[in-house]
Amino acid sequence: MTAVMRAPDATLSRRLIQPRPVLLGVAGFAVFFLAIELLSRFSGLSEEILPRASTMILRTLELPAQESYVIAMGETLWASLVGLMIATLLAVPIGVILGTSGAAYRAMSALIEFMRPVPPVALIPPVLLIMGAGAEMKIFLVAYSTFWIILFNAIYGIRGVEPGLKDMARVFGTGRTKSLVVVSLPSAAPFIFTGVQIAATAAFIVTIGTEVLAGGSGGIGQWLMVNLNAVTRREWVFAGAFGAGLVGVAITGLLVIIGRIAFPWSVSNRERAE
Amino acid sequence: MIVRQPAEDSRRRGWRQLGDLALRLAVLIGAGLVWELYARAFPSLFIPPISAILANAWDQWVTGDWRALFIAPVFLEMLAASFRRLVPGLIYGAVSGIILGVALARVRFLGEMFSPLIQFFRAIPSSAKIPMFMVLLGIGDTMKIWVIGISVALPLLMNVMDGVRNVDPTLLAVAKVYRVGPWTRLWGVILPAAAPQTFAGLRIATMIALIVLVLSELTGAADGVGYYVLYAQRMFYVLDMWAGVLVLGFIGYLLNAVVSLAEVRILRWHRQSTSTAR
Repeated sequence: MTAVMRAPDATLSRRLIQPRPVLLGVAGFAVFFLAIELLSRFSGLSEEILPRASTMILRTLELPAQESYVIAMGETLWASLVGLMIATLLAVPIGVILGTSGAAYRAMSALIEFMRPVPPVALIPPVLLIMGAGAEMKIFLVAYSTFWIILFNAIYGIRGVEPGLKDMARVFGTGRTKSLVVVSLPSAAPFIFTGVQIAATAAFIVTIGTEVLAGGSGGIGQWLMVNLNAVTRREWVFAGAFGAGLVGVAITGLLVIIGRIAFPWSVSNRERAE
Repeated sequence: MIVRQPAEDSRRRGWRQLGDLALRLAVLIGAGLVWELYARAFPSLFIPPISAILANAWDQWVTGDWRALFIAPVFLEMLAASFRRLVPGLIYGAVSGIILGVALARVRFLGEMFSPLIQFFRAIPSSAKIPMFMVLLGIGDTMKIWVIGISVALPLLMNVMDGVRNVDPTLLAVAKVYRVGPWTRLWGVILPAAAPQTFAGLRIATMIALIVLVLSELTGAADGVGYYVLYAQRMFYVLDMWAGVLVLGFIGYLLNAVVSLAEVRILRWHRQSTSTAR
């Protein structure tokens, strides 16, 4: 629809880089940080409470040169990644099996309904007692909390496969197992991947949350708390959080690109191609 | 197909719902049994049997006083402290998220201007926002309410924006032709059309709110359920600690149920209109 209305000479490069939204977006950031700068200068708040926006931005740019921050980021990303991998490897097969069986699905959805509302961070104190502060504890908590998200999406992805597709496979004499591999899995894969994308964000939140609470477990969370308690380094708390946000944006972007390359047949990718 | 559903159908649905309920209860009891058997088979100081946890919770939190509905005051105080942070945070976050979402979707220039900024702040993990707001607002309830509010508003706002942008243009055109005023257009056309996505956002937002509440109570508080869990852990009151975790799960379940109930009530027209359209 929109493609028809677009001017015929709109080339791909022009469609990808549109100057207007970029400029407006930059203006949005400028307005926000200018407001912070003015508030910091003229509201009478001390710089230990609300640092100058210019200082925050400067410190954020200096983060890559802060060895402690880079190491901490590495620790956080490592724990998130390993936890996420474990959860994916467990949840996807289990979800696919549960999704194909009606009875198992009904029993499991009741269990999921009870387990999902338990906030994963509530388990930090017990897991700390059992496993002690360290990388294993973080990885366990990440794996546990993301397992449910991925499982949920895997089950619903398999169940959401268009019945017509499965019927057609049956008409052509395709067996159950082959139909699962050839029809259901490719059809559900983009949806399952969406679950992994959501889980990646959750993994980052849980890892940093654990680090904030459990001193001695390293990572960004602990780095932020150390800087919070060092009164002269308060502006680094903002910079560190902004840095985590930028890394978060990068992770999200990376996963979107992976999704586009790995699942070109997904609905959203087909729409983009039209 | 518009076929009025006969009474038998609704009766059958009633039985199905009852069966669902029975299944859920069975699964819950089954999960409890697995825990119990595991804890008895592999005795550990930190994973006590669930029966011991529940018995301990009963001793602490249930009294013989019928006037207080058999609930001990300590339990109510603990819940009240948490809800004093959770409820205002949720309400401020939801209201500002919906208002800003509608505004940013309707005024295109504002939407384009602030979307990247909002995306950036949304990408900062809420657990990293807590130290940031501790610098700004200290460790009191104000900080907790703000972090909850912002963690709720940002994802909700994006969903509301999406919903409002995807309102059927024909509906808006019709409203314009009939000279429907802007206020009626908002309440009668735009908000109902964006309601399904708003509720989807609200579901995610309430879960995030609970996570942020617990995190903030674990980092700096002197009361509330999160603090109770942390205190019990530090004192090695393992039974208390697990009881607190169960209470947090229960709050999560309750919140989810409230949102679902509101969704079913408010979106009833939506389900009807989409099912008759088929």
